[in-house]
Amino acid sequence: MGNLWKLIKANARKDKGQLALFFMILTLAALLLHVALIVSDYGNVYDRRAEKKNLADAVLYGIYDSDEIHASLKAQGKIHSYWMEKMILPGTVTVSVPSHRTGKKIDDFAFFENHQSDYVKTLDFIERSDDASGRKIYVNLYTARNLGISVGDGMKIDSEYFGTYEFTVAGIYEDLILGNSFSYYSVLVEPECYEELKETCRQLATEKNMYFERDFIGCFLNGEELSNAEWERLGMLNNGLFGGWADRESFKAGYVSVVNILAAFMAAFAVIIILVTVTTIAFTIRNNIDKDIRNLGALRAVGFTTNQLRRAIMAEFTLIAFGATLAGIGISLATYPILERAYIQEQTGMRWEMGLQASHVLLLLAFVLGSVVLITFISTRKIKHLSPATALRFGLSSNSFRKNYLPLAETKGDLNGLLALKACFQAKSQNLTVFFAMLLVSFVATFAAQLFYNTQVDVTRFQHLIQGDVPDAHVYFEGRDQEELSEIREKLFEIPGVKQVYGLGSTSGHVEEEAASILYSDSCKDVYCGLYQGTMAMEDNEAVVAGSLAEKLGVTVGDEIEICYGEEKEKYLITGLQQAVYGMGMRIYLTDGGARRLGIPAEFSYFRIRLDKPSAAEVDRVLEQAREVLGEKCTEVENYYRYQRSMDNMPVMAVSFIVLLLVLLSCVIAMLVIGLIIKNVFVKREKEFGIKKALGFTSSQLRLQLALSLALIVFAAATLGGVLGYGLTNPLITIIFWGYGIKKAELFVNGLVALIAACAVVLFTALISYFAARKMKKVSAYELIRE
Amino acid sequence: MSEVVIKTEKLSKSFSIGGKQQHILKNLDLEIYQGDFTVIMGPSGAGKSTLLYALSGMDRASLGSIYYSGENITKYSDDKLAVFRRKHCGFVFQQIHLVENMSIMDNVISAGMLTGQKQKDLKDKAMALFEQVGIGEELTKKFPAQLSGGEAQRSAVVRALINDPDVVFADEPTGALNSAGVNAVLDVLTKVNQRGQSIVMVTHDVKSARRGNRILYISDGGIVGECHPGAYVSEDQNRHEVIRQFLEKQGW
Repeated sequence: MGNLWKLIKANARKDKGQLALFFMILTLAALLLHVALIVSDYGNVYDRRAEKKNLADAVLYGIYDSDEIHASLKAQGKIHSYWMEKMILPGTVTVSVPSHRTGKKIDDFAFFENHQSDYVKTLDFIERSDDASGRKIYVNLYTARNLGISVGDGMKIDSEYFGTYEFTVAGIYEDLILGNSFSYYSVLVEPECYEELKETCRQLATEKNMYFERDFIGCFLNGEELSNAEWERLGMLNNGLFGGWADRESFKAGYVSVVNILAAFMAAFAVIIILVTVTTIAFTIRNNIDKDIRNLGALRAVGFTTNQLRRAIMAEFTLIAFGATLAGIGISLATYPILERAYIQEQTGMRWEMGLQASHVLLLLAFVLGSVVLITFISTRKIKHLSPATALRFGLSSNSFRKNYLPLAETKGDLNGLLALKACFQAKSQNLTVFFAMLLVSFVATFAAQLFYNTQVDVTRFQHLIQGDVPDAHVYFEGRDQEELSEIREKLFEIPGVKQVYGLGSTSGHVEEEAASILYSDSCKDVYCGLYQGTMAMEDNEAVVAGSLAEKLGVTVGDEIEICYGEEKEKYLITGLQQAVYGMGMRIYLTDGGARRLGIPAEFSYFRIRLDKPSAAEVDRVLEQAREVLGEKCTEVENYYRYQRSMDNMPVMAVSFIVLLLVLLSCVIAMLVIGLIIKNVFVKREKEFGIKKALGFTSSQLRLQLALSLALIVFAAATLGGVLGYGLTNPLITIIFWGYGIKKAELFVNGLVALIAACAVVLFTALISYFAARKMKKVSAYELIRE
Repeated sequence: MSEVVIKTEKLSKSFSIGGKQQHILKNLDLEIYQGDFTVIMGPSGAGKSTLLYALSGMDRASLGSIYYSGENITKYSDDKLAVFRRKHCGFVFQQIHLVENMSIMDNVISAGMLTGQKQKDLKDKAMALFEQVGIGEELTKKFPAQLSGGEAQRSAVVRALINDPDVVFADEPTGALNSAGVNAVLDVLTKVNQRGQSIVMVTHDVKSARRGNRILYISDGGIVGECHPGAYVSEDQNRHEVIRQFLEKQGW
């Protein structure tokens, strides 16, 4: 053991530069993987908290008339108890806070009363300052982080019907039902304020027949669960009583779906980085063995066994991997609270207080150490039968009498080119490892570049992947009858630059026991629904269903399904399968006529517009003209193109941000790995360069030979990596988003982007090789030989 | 007196070893003459090899100047020094230092191609030199690791001679060879010298030193003794005695 330790220390002293670099890369990879594990754990965090808080199994949104609602709920035998909370939904409000002084328009805003109730008891206050002056308001964590507000900040809420209210933020709480990206921007106000709002509700109900107060009902089930269809029927049977429902899994999805996507991205990148790193470790070990073969021979000669030598090398790298993994875990634990506060809470609306998880540590150690131990074991096999005499006299290569490629006496050509080619042909084993490592680097660079393009340059397809149909603009209007709609559509079509005008509405229904969103359009051909198989529904008896839903139902294109809307049932022919993360993959697309067959009113209050050549300014121009041509009929317009690309567009921007970080990280790691590989190649050939320099080769000639000898292999690897990146970006994205209903991702995969990424790898390698070999210029031939 | 090929003025060379400056050569003035077989001897660490590498432009002086045929090569750029070496110098090392992934013939040809000679001419010239040093054509196709130490060193001598250098620098060329190998290499170097090429050789071996017509003894970074035993004659016992006495006087 003592001897082994001495060997390890000696090796580490010798390889300290390489080890430092590996430590750095593995630390980054472990950090990324640990953050991915933490982020992917929010589902468990949610379950534990929900259990602790005795959260309702499902919620229903009651519309009005509490007595009827009570009767309906009591009639449902599977619901053993429930609580009911009043909420005011004021419609669109404009919220002004210090970070959004100009005001942010919010459609889904909800006021609750801060009092002792079953719902309020489920809220956990994170920060609270009841001494705050003025009218107090308490906001949930999701709202607080997304609006960028803190306790003590002022908050002004403008509503068309309720007027203007000014508050002071007196507390921030975690809400496990209504504090996520799928729900309301909910707030608690003091009883007096709630009473004022309620009074306005009463007046509006009496004077304008407008109802803003709703019942928010938390239901507890009798152990047995209500199926999706039963919930759907409960809502529909009491049509007019309930506005919708959601079970605990649905609430949870609102909290964790974005971070799960982020975790999948981070894990994918981390795994690729670890693969690149272990390949580079293999290359480094093989190079070190070649370089130090005489030392190893000497050690064999004095009595060390090959197993001891192998164990020393394996232990050296395993210890580094162990240290790096622990460092990565440590750094991620230390920095995660900052990331969480600044970014993750915005997506989850939840706090993370899990601390160090033994399961995460074990998983990380098993994966990183397992990979490193395996690769070092394989890489050190070449000295398994090392004879001291052979090692001392000839080195390892002496046993294979190689072919003399391109003999100089008989081959015409430039000396530098010939020597570079000879070096290239004669280092097959090295070439294989360099090729594999560069292939992975090029692949990750291309994949990262494609993601960068899709999330930063042209977000259209990424938007489609997440949200399904994404128009450039919305035009809201008054009027519902077909004649009016046709007239509006005609007028919008006449605006120059407009390509498509269509309505898209949605409601909920079910197929067998599966609840689903039913989407319908008056122009299905214009709707982008993420169709990946078959064709769009064009006739009234046709339907396109989400791939996930089709899988659950065991149906596919050409089959017939019975779609239910309340009591109504109709059969439809499946003409296509579609996909999108939005709605967790449970959707059905019908024509508006197809929707009417089910009794769905299929009316549209706004049209979606797509332009020929969209840009934010072009959409503004079109919308201005739309206002002009529609006059008073146009109630509102929205530049959705601008919104898509703004920071308000969650979760696309959330994913974009993480992808950008991952792309930058990949670039850094690619640079480090390329640097390490080139340095290894240089160090291995240092003596050769020294001899050549002594004979009269200039530094430039030697640098050129080094670069050329690598050029072929790097070029081939970068090209193949680029091709793989090009071909595998969508399959990899499909795997990442598989759980969200994506069966065949269709991001832009740009050949030029792949080419640029592969060229960047080649160029960067050339640059690194040039700089790594600068020692050739600085150091004398004598010193190069001596080393 | 022959023409001066290399001249040093107050040549100093220092190395930083473990953060401490070690002065290996100290203000050394020296002249190397055309056609001489100059042998440099001295105890280990005296600075023999350092001097050899500085004289040949393989390493740079810390202070002072080195002149080659009157031209100050200490001012040369790195690339100019490389061109200088390929044109004027040949090297033979104790560790042989043939490029391991090139055949013996390619080791020689690549050095020759540096000076712009044609491959065909080079091959003929190399074969003639190989024949002179007793290396058959079959051996020239092999890789360095497939040759014995003596064969490899003789091949290295051929590489050193392929560009007809003015000076051949040899750093303990027989240090790693058996006695048959030693004689073969020394005979080749002697023949080269007899053709008029200058040789500067560092050695620890008295038998090798006898080949020189000028022996310099270096100690503590400076030349402390010089001996001129005259041209090498194989069995000249008087000459051997002169050298023996000189070395004894130096404390050898």
